[in-house]
Amino acid sequence: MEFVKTILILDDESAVRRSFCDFFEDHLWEPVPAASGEEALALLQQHLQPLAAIVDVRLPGIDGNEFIRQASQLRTPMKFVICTGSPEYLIPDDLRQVAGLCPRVFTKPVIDMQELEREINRLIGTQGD
Amino acid sequence: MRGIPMTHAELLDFAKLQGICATIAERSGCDVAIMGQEGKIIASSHSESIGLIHPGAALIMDSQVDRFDVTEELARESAVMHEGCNLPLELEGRRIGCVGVAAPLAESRRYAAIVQTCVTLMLENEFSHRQTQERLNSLIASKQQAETVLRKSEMRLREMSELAHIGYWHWDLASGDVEWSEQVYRIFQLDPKQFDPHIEAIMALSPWEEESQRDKELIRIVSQSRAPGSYEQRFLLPDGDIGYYCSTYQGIYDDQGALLALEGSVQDITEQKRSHRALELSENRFRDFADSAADWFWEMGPDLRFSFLTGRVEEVMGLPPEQILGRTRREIYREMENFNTIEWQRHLHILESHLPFSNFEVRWTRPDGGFRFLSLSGKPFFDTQGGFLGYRGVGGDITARKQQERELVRLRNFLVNIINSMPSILIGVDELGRITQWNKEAQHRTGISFEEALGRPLSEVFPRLTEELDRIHWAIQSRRKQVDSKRTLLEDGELHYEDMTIYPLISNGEEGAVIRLDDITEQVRMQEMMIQSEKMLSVGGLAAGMAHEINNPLAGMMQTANVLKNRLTDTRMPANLHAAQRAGLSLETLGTYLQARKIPRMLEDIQTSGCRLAEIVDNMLSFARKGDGGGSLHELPELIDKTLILATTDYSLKKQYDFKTIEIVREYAKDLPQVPCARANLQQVLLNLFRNGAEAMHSVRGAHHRFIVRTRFDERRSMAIIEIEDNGPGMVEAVRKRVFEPFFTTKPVGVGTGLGLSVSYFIITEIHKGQISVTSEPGKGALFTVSLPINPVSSD
Repeated sequence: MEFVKTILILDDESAVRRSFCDFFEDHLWEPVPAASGEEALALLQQHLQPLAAIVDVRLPGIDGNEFIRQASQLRTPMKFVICTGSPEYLIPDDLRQVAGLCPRVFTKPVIDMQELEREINRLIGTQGD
Repeated sequence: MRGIPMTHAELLDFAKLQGICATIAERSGCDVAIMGQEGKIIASSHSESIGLIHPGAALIMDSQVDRFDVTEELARESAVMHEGCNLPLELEGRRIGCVGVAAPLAESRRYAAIVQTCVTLMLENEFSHRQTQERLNSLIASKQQAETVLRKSEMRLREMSELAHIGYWHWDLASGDVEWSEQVYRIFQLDPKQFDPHIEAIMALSPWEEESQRDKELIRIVSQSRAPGSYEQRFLLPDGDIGYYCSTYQGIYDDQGALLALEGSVQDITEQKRSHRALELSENRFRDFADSAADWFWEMGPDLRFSFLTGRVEEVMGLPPEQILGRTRREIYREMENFNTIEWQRHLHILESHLPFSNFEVRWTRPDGGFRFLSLSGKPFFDTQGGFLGYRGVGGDITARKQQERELVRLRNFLVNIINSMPSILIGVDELGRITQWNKEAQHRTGISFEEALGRPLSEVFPRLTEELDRIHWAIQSRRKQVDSKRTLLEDGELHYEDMTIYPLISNGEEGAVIRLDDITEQVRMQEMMIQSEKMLSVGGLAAGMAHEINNPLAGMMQTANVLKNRLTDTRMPANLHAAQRAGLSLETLGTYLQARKIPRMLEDIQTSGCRLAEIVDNMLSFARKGDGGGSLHELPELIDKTLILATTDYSLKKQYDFKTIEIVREYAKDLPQVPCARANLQQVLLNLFRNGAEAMHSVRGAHHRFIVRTRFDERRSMAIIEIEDNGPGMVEAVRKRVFEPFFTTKPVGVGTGLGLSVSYFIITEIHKGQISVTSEPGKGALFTVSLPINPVSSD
């Protein structure tokens, strides 16, 4: 079996979550959906080791920022890309220190999802297809 | 003395003379006659001849002869004369009569001499007796006269003593009895019948502690000194008043020199005392007046040297009087710093001219370093011939008053400054509406000076308040402040706003009012701007809240559409191939079908529409970003481009112009740094400029419309510059000058608010501390320049 690229999709909006999952699935990723930060953290603690996570900010329970804070503490060398529906969103200062965080914030709707995938590939240092 | 001398012959009375004649005639047997003045026979033994004139006697009396002999012949010829001899009678050398003896001449001579001697002796005797009598009479007369004089003198003395209220007393020391003259009773206003003047009773008339030992004291003094003296004493009058007497005294001693009694006079001096007291009172009163009028008195001699000082001079000046007396004012004040002033020169000139002066004010530095303000007044005085004798005057310490005055002046200046530095028009009026106060702003706004305005009716100098006179009167009458906010008025054809407040003045009974006018046009416009700005921000805020809600479903739609498109049209995707194969479907066939049903175009439409929706939401959000002004850095070109897109969408709503037909020429400088700005606000400004420019260009139909948008960096001022140039109709000078004023608009009513550019002005100058300006000429388009500081400036 080929090397499997796992990506965590954290978004509470099911249509959005599904569209991301479908897109990455089509592009030969193994998307793992999570509807809340708590759920995503639980997955990570159950030895899920994704290469990257697409993180929505506004979430029920802990928000995206908090998820990244906690997830980055888990010694999982994963990348985080923030996709938010709030155009005025700015990355909090403390999160800028997180090594795996993509400084570029994608705003929903992500019109060019290929570009999103390219950005993730650049982050993880592999050439995609 | 009665001194009219009788004729000597008349000394002898007729009877005696007749007796003499008869006696001699009888003894001698010859007729004898005595003649008086002018030879008239006054006595004769031959009585028929009495009264006749004897011519011979007449000759004797006339002192022509000393003897007249009547011869026989002569006797025969005369009826009166008989033969005989006549001889004169003389007394004290004066011929007082004659004697004649009628007898034969020889005999008669002898007889005549005898008769002469005899009568003369008698006469002399008589005369001497008479003289004695007379002297006696005169002595008696003088005695009587002396008695009269004495009586008169006594009376006078009494009257005088009564008038002078002087009485006499005598005090017998052994018995203690006192003898009083009538006048003493009168002095004490006591009835002689009821008062027994014993020493104890007398002492009781002065019932005061300090006078109770007076009698013993008196005895002691007189015993010792034996000299007379006097003393004064108070006494109680029956009516309760206090009287005063002055008593003299002397001792009366016996042969051995022992004091037996005292006696003396007593004089009522109550009146003197009273007048003295009145004088004293008057003097005190005068002194009090003078003391309260001045702090000290001074006098100068004719040499202008101080000769007299009294009062608080040392206290005030800090100089003992000895350092002033004998010196001139010039010498004393020479060291004062202001001695060379014209006031001092004038004062010295006045002194030398012997003119009066009043309230000459000087600043005096005391030896201890403190200072006082003195007020000096003086009056020259002269002798009866008009010779200058010097000055008399007063000095006063007016430091407190002076300081109050200074404080008052300072306060007044301070108030005037406040009133004048107020940006409001302040007009004071009295109850008749006449100007009493007219501050700088009023002068500035009306061009009428304070002096010109003072006292004139308000309606004359400030006509537009004429209709407010009723309100002013009402304010004064009711003592209530009247406020009229946001009054509108046209000034130079422009709408202005002002607040008017009428404050009634009710101090010191002086009625009037102060009218305060504040031009609030700026505030009103600023308020409108703020409202507008807030409105936009609230729209922005609403958009921000909505954006997230819109973007998520939009993402669901668009991203799903994206995946959908991939899955339908991507013929190389393994999953697609795999799924088609399992369904027994040829992807080519599917592609043909999709093309035939225009599915790819539909998917494209979903994509395009979604994109536009996303963009609109994004742009709306720009307005929400207020707080980042000055804080966040922005790339101007990007910001401008976004605004241009917004401007394009704006068109579709307003339909005033078609932005898409406008050519946009971008001339962006490459080295432009990022600019700290409030993005939403700056976008609003740029949008305004684009809209206005587009509208202006649109008014010229058929022309090619073009914007040139430039950015550059002004290094010298450290500012980023945005220039937006259109090729529209441009503006005339009058319009150009006012485009940034609120409510100024050239657009038809209902089209614009007239706030757009003023809000822009506010945003650039107030929020960003930058500048915005326009250059334009009719037919040459307009160029708006926005300058923004690069270095962060604090902003709210």
